[in-house]
Amino acid sequence: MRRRTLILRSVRYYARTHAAAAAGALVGCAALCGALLVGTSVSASLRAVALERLCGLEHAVESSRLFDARLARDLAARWPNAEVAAALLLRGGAQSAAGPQRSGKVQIVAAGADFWRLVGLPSEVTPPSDGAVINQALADELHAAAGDEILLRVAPPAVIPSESLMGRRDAPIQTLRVRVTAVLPDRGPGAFELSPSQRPPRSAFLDLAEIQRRIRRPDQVNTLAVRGVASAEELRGGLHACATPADHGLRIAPHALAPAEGATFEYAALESEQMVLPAAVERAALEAARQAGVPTSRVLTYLANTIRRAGAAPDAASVPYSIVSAVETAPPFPPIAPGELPIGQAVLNDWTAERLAARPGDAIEITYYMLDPGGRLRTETRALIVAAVVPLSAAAADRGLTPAYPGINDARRMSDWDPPFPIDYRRIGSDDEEYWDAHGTTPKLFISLQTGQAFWAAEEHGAARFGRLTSIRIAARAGEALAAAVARFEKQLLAELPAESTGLLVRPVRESALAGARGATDFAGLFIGFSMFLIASAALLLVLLQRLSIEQRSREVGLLLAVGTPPRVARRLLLAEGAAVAAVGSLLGVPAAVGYAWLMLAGLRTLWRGAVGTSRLGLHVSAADLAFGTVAALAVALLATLWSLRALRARSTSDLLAGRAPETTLDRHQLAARAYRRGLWRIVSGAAAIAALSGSMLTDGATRAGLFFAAGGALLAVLLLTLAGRTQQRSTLPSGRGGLTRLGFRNAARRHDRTMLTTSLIACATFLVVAVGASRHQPGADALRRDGGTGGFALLAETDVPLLYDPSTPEGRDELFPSGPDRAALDSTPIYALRRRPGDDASCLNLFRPTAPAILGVPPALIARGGFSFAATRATTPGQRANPWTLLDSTFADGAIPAFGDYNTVVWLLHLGLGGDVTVRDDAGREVRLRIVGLLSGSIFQSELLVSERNFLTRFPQQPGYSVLLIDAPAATAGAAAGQLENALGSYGCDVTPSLDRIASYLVVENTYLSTFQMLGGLGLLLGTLGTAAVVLRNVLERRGELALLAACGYTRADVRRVVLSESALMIVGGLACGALAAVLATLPNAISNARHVPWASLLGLLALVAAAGLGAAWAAASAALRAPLLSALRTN
Amino acid sequence: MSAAGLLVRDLTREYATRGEPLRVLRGVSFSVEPGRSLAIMGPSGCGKSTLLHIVGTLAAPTSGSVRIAGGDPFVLAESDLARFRNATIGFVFQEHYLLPQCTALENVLIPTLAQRASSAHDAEVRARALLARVGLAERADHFPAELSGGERQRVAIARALINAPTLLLADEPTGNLDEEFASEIAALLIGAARDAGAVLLIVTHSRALAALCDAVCELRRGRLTEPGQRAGA
Repeated sequence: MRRRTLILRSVRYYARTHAAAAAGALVGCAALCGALLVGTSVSASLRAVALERLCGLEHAVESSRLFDARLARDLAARWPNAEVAAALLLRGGAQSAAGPQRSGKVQIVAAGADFWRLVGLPSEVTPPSDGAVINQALADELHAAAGDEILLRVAPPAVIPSESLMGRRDAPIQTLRVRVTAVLPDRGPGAFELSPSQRPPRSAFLDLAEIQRRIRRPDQVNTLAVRGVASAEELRGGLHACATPADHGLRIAPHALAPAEGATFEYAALESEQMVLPAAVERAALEAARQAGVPTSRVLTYLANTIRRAGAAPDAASVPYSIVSAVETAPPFPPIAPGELPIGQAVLNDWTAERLAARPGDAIEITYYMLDPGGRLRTETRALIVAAVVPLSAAAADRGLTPAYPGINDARRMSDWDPPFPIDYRRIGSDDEEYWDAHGTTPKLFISLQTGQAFWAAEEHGAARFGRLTSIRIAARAGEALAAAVARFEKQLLAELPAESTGLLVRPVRESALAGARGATDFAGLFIGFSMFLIASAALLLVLLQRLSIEQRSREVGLLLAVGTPPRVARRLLLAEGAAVAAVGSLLGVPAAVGYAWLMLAGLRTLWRGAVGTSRLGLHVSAADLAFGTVAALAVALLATLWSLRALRARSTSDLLAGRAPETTLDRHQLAARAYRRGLWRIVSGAAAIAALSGSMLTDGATRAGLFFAAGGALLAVLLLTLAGRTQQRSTLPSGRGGLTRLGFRNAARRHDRTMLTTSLIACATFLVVAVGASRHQPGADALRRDGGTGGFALLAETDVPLLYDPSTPEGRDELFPSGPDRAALDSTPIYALRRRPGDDASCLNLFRPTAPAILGVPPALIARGGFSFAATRATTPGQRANPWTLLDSTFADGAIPAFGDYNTVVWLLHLGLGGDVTVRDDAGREVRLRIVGLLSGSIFQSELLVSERNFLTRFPQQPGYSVLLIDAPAATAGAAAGQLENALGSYGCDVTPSLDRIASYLVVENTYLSTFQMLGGLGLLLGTLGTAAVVLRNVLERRGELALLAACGYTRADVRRVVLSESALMIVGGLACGALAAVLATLPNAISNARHVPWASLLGLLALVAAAGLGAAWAAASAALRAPLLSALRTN
Repeated sequence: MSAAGLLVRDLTREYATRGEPLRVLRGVSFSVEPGRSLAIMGPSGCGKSTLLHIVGTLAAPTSGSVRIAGGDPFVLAESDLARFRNATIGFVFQEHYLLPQCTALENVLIPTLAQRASSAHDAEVRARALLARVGLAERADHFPAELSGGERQRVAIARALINAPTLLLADEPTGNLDEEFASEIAALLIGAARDAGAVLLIVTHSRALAALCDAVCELRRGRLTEPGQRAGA
């Protein structure tokens, strides 16, 4: 006979015993493989969702401003297989025309036939010019159907930045009334969106030409959808090659001067449609001019409200609304006046000098508007000394110094001006009109560029947000035609100007979606974590069952050893047998794993939908996962078998042959030594528990979580060691039924290791279930404190259309809030307005990994106010510790920008920590590193990262206005304030949410995960009770003789069962009590400090249920074992 | 005494208790020549099984020496001791300890599992011969559950002889059998040991079995009486 034969014979003979062990291996394998399959399935489902939303698109070109749709055609012509379609993608709000239903964050897609073809929208449902197609998600929100009318609110991108002086702030919102012609399902083209999210977008599809007509921007778009271009780099190259100055929002306008009688000086001015040249353009243009050898002169032109003599009487002569140019004097450009213009001095044209009766050396004042970031107009006055008075001719008569501005340049009279700021038309006299009529926008006063930039474009005051020049003049070299110089300059400028620097951003949407689809949360890891206890329980059950099997066969092992089989060989035989059983169990676990994964995904789609927010998760079976999981499960099972075999090492062949239990072979000294070691461990564990508990009272965040588990583990050890000691103490048996119960307790000490293994299994499961249950979060009153998760702000508002005025200032409120009965209440409510750069939702509500998280700009007032709770900060000074928000104003030598994020967002979604860098691209396409200097704790800011407004405006100058409002309303009037604000800002699509609800929406995810964890912990507990039943069954079978003796002595079967059940009750109730007590003690610091509501009733109910289930299983096992006649057992004994 | 026999000198065995150590064996000495048999009798708890386990190298003595076939097995490492036991000693217990999952033939072959080099075919030939010798040639493929008590014990004897041991140890080999089967098993055991030239050491309560051995001695309070030679031995 070969060893293999013996192994196979043994496997077959003990098949029933092995079946239980195989079941343990099966459960372990199913849980492990299943968890891996869940991870793969979530990733695959997200990938499918992401690709479906992109409708086959691979890249997109997006811009915060509008550009010519011609670019799409030019790009498509570059590659034979490329398909490029232009569209206007806007964010806005929607409202039912018939009812009160509203919806925010609506995606409005205006496109033409080529775009619809590209995304696969059937031609029969493409939106007509007078209608809209909406998707099911929006239809559900608005309760709208085909034929209904809806209102769409959008704010098209402004040509001139709304927050610049010349930008229009009064009419950014367009309301479109359209009839719904079709409702698309939230699949296919109906799910189209360029940003990945598992939640269906709310979309309205409109006809591009019609929208362009309504917003008066013919042929203008802000998005190109691209398919068939190999890479983003190639597309960038193509874009670079195709883009014209107009695509960058630039124009090069020719001008001519007559510097002297009969002479002509020609030049061209590089201007921006934004009125101010962005810094990136300025840099590129100057470099291009240098490379092309083209002389330049920089110009900053501004509007002065008044020019007057300094100290003149109020009624003295003044010149209203005059163009003032700050000019860089450089040959070959004819000088305004001879020589350099010193700082603080001005040159007047003779028309103005005459009006003011000013001569060289006189002091004059200019008054002008400055626009604060919050939309507040401020009037500033500066003093200048007249350096010269020049005739209104030659270089002083240059209209080219003033960039074209619609509403001014095209005005026939000054009194027809239509600027975006208030002017007093009464101040415009006939002289002024004559000047306008004769000279138009010719500047009346000249200063040096340095002086002008100090007045109107100072970096430190944020005035240079949009740029520091209005034009760069270029001239030809001597003897060269201007056209040639301009052509050379333009070519070089385009070479120096990457498309992204003027906001034409290329996004590899498919690549980003696939990267994001790998998920912010590692679901495989998460479910392995969730299933870990189940796997551990299965392994412990396997150990228990293998040990029972080995104990049952100890004589067999003894015989093998007695006949001279080396112990190593005997162990190998048993290990091989155990491996065979584990292999069978693991293989059977493969189909079970598929079922387990299917169940988990079904749970995520239904019961736990709160955690994922989608029903689009499907099962994807991966052979690699199954193979890896099976091998890992087999390894765990083999380790469990090896551990079971350890019990054989300490036992002599004689003891094995005699079938003596290991515990019964210990002598007094060994027992005393065991008790001593137990006592020692109890002291060590107790000290560790006290230290960890104390530590957890003093810390927060991840440290507290770690200390919690350390404290819990140590407490559990103390309690189990105490129970182990108590069960080995002998006490006298009282007479009567109590004696039988005590006898059962004493029996528990006979197979002590077996008893404690089972008890520990139940205790660990109970600890987990209770601790998880006690950790469920409900935002409590503490969250509303100033140092809580809401920062003391009762309400949080978000607007679909950014507010171009700051509602925290009286001026901003005047512009935003209508006068009426609510106005007084609104004025008395402190509001903090934050800027928002759109991006990926970085919170747990988004399953996709955020690649470009949304960013909030925190105003100085909020930084000064402070508040909110922090898990950790990089505060080093007392001031920073007192108010960590001041960290946002700190600087880093390497140029990184300090940022805050919520602990959950940074740690779990971005997988970073304090000091970690998040890299994003700014409005000029440059990489910006946001360095995490503070981690907020359980805050309302889980979807974004926060930076100071100052840094926000520096890096994201093109992002207009305020989109997030924090409202410090008293709790009693918060509801009324919410209503008032929604009414006042209704046209901006303002949605006010109680801050606690916002936190609760994040906690739903956390609590759902905890429920999952708790349920899988409960399954582990079930395995614990099964282990108890196995132990009871084995104990009864081993002691049938003793039990028969009791029967022979006149005890009834019920009495005998009582003995058996008291032993089981000790294991079950002991395990439950130890686990629950350890969990309660460990969670106490957290519960006290966070004033958490712990659902004690449901927890106690759960424990009672487990106790009943365990005792029921033990009762069934005891009944089964006692069913056979006991008398025969007595005979064999 | 021949170097090939069994020599036990001043064997003691103590167990720790609450007070004084419990001395089970107190200077036990005896020797047995190859091909001879010795029965050790004594009341329950006198240390008979302990003595047998020490001689069988399943337990170590507190002091004293055991020499089997001229060698001291207790100087060997654990794995070497197992190999020594496998090659030199055969056991027959009161319980047959047959593996229920194996046939009679496979049970006889169990000790050969420890021998890597052994030819499976040769071992099976030897096992069948031994089963034939104990009268179970026809029952070779039967499982223990299909055998009577006496047949099981005969399989156990065949198992003990499979590696041709020089020392055969039997612990109450007839304890579970009725008189008729007991004498049959005893004759088989003694005859087999004698034929193989092995030392046979039997621990028993049965005077009838002891009477069949070449010598008998009694263990009382841990001490062994001088072996009494059986008449005609």
